Amino acid sequence: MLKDITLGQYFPGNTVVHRLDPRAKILLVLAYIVFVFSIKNFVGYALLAAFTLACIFISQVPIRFVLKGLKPIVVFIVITGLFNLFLTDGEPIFTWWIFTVTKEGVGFAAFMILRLFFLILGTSLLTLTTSPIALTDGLEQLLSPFKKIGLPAHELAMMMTIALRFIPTLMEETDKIIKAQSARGADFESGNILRRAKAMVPILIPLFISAFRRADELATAMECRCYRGGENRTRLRELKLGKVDLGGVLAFLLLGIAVFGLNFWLGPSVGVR
Amino acid sequence: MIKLEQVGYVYMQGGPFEKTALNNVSLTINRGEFIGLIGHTGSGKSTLIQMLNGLLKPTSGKIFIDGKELNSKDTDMRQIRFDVGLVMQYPEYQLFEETVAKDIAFGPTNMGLSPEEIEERVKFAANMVGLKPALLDKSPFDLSGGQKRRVAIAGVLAMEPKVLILDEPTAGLDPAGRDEILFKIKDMHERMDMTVILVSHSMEDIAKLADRILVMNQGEVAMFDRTDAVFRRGEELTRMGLNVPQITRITDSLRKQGVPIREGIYTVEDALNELAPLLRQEGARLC
Repeated sequence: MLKDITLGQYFPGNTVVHRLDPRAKILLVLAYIVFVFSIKNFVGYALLAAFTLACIFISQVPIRFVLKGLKPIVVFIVITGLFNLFLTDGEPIFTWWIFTVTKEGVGFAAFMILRLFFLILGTSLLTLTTSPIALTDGLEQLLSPFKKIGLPAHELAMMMTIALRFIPTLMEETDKIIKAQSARGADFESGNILRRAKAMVPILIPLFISAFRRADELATAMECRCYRGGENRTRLRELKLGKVDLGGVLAFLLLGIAVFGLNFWLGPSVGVR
Repeated sequence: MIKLEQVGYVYMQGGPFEKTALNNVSLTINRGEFIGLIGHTGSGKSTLIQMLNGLLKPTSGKIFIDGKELNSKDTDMRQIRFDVGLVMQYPEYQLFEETVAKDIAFGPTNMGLSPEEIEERVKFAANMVGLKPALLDKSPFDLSGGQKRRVAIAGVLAMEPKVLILDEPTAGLDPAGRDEILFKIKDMHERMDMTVILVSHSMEDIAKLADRILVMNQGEVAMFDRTDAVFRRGEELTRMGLNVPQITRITDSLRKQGVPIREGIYTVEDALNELAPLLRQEGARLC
């Protein structure tokens, strides 16, 4: 039951999108987010949709996988949409009881929904096509210029890597402890919320203890191998920018020019601020 | 007592990572028997024992405990867990209470017994595994590894199960701790007329304790027979990544070299009884 949870939804592949340098990919996704929020008319979104679909198609990730990333925030999107629909001032087109729908409200709600939708789509394509290890690697390198002002980039990346690596281990551990306590007649399913919360204690305490123990052991093992942070550390897989990355940057450059050009030529749609 | 009818278990059935852990296992274990369960890693031992108290549901076949069918609507599965006590591998990691006594009381409390009865059972179980009464008020996390394990075993014993299953109860213990725990298990088996299933990788321990040995190989029952009969099939066992006790290997090779010694010796005591007269015959004084 617990094993079914997959974290870091990496979908392995060997497409152009997968092969992009993680650093480039992170930066391109940042650019993508900037585009998502600077588009001011629907033609721009049509263009962005075409571009995003093309990326998904090239990456060969099944579309339902990409859309699965949207599931947890559907409620959030709907609520945002409704609020904007009813609470925007402007030219009324429809009134019922205390609710007034305005022309601007419709436009703005549609825009907010589109923005959130593309925001999630773009970022989930990043995590779908980049392994968690490559992602932290890229993040570390991107953050390394900030070391000068005291940001521990290597340590941050190391912490993320370790956290990711231990998720399956702790899942397995939880499963084992649940079984052991069930064997002693622990009951996790019946009773009210308070009783159920109390029933979690026999699981959580051993789990915490084992997590601390593992952390301790890992620290010792790392020190035994003379780990001492990022200073002078070389890496097994050097990240190299290649033609693929240049292609990616060019594609985004074109997209950017088109988006801002459209903003300029067509002006903002109704309700957009 | 325990009856399995063509039991099978498939992990992640229907998925891309489908894996058969158990295949067509049928066997009967009688009340009061001491069963040794051996098999290479991944042979299905752990899957098998987890099905006996309903932690895992078989994907095919039926399991009966005392005539009650497991996982059927009419059977109270919690009651089955109290009847079939399972001590999992490294059970000391399941301890969580403030004091040893409270931790041992977790099982009996879940059974809904009266406080007096619980107290009595805690004392009894602690005594059974050789925990001194002074330890009962200590935190389980201050104890040594061997003592923690005893607390965990006592926690299952306090439920007074009819069947006690232990999954490698001596893994990672020092020789003294190992012998003492095994001795206590044998003692409980005899005094409480408990059916015991002991999973172990130590052929010596199994040889010393078990009435019958169940050998699992690749999810199937390879052998299920009296201890001496199983250890007579040393070659087959070796092929399964298992072995016979060291003393059996010694007596077997002695016999191959012409020493008139019988087959099926699997404890040091047996070997001594067998070899001592032979050595005396040749006129030499023993030691």
